[in-house]
Amino acid sequence: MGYIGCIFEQTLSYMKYKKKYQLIIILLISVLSFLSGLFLLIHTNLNAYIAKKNTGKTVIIYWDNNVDRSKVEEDLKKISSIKGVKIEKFYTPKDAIKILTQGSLPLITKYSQTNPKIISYTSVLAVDLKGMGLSNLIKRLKTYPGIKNIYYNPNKVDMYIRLNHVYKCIESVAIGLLVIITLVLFFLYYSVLKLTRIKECYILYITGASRTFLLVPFIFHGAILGLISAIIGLLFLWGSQYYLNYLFFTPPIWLKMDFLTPYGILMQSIFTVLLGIFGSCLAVKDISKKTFNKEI
Amino acid sequence: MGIKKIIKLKNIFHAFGSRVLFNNVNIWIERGSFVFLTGDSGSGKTTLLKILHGEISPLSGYVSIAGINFGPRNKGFMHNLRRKVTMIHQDFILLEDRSVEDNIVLPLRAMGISKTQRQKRLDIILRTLELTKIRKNRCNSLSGGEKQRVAIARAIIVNPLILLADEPTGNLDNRQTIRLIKILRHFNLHGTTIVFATHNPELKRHVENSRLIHIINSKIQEIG
Repeated sequence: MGYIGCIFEQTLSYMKYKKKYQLIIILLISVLSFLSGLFLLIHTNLNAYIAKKNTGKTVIIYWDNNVDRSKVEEDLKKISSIKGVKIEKFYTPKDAIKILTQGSLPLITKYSQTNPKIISYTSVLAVDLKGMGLSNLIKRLKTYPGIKNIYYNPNKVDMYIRLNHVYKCIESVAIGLLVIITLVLFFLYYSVLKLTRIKECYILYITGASRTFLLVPFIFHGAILGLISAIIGLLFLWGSQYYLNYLFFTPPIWLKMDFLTPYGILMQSIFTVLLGIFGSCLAVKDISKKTFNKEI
Repeated sequence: MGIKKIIKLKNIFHAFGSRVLFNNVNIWIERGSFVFLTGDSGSGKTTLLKILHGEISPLSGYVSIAGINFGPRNKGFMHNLRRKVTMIHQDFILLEDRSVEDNIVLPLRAMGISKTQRQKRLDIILRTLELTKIRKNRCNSLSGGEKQRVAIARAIIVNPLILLADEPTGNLDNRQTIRLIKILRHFNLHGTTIVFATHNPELKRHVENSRLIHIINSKIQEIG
């Protein structure tokens, strides 16, 4: 317990002195934490937004007049087994007559406009497929011999592909920028840490500190700084979320920014703490390399 | 411990670039002795002390301090040596923003000694070196002499087998110098081997039965 207690005491001692430098370090890691959190926030919400834009696609299938009901049901069974495809409605020729004779005007208009055969087996599919999924589904449905006609809106497919393409471009640029900013800020953090602790590490080294005693309090200290920075970064992120909502939750975008999920918050915090630890390890290793004859 | 010759250096060769500091140097120091190490500026006194402290490895030769042989295999265990061999540096190397007691107990904390034990040892050392009144003062507010005593206290508090002092009288007047030697002699009489690097060979006369080793032209001369 004595030795472990001393390690904790040493960690507290690191926290107690050189507070100005520690504030600079916390500021640097907080900015890093905030930026990575902002990226995660925008990434998650934009992905959800695009996915939402991609949902609610409707495909209507019309079978040939001569096809038996058993054949139609067999086709329906195959279609319903496709992932992302749900059979929303199914009309028999009798249902079609009923719609045409008793249905409301908009329904009649839509039905008669899209169904060239007027009276046939008809199914409305709710499709939730990303990217080229819808095109592939149409190609696949066209291979079924009984299906005579397929109705869908090709614009929706194009829009998704366009949106996704633009988003991927922006995302790549953002990742690149984030990596550069992370490297610069991380280098600053590690340099400040090294500068503030080099003398103390040297004194500990010449007074008989073991490598464990030199490394562990440094790592704990880095982890604590990382944790404080993670909390500050998340608080700033929380504030930014309100601003982003104010900015984007307006017509015609209606993009609502939800805050990170608990899992996202956890991942973000772990990332920041690891950043703190990694910086500490790197600093102490560098101090060791330059001053301690590479003993650590 | 049972080691009569506590410091053994054999065929030591060390150089910085083309400048040879030690060429085939042999030194034997017995346990409990008080040795003055003299030489001109740049003769290698500090380097020799750093070799004895395990901070610098000589380019070739055999080094054995307090029963620990230096070598690549022992590199990870050198902290054990530094707990037995402490050093007072020429420029003290103190943490200026910490208090006197924080600086002094640092090696004890590094050794994992409990707070109660640390406090007991600290009180004794502070009394011995007359630092009790300034124990809470920050080191950046101390005079040169006070800083020196703090550095000595930090080196002594671990009860070292060997104490290496690198020109500790460099910025002291005559009265303070004699006082410092008396303090070191006190610890020497309690069994600590002292290696005292200085410019001034005259200091030898203040310590009975002491040895004087002179470094000249990369060689060692035993004067007395």
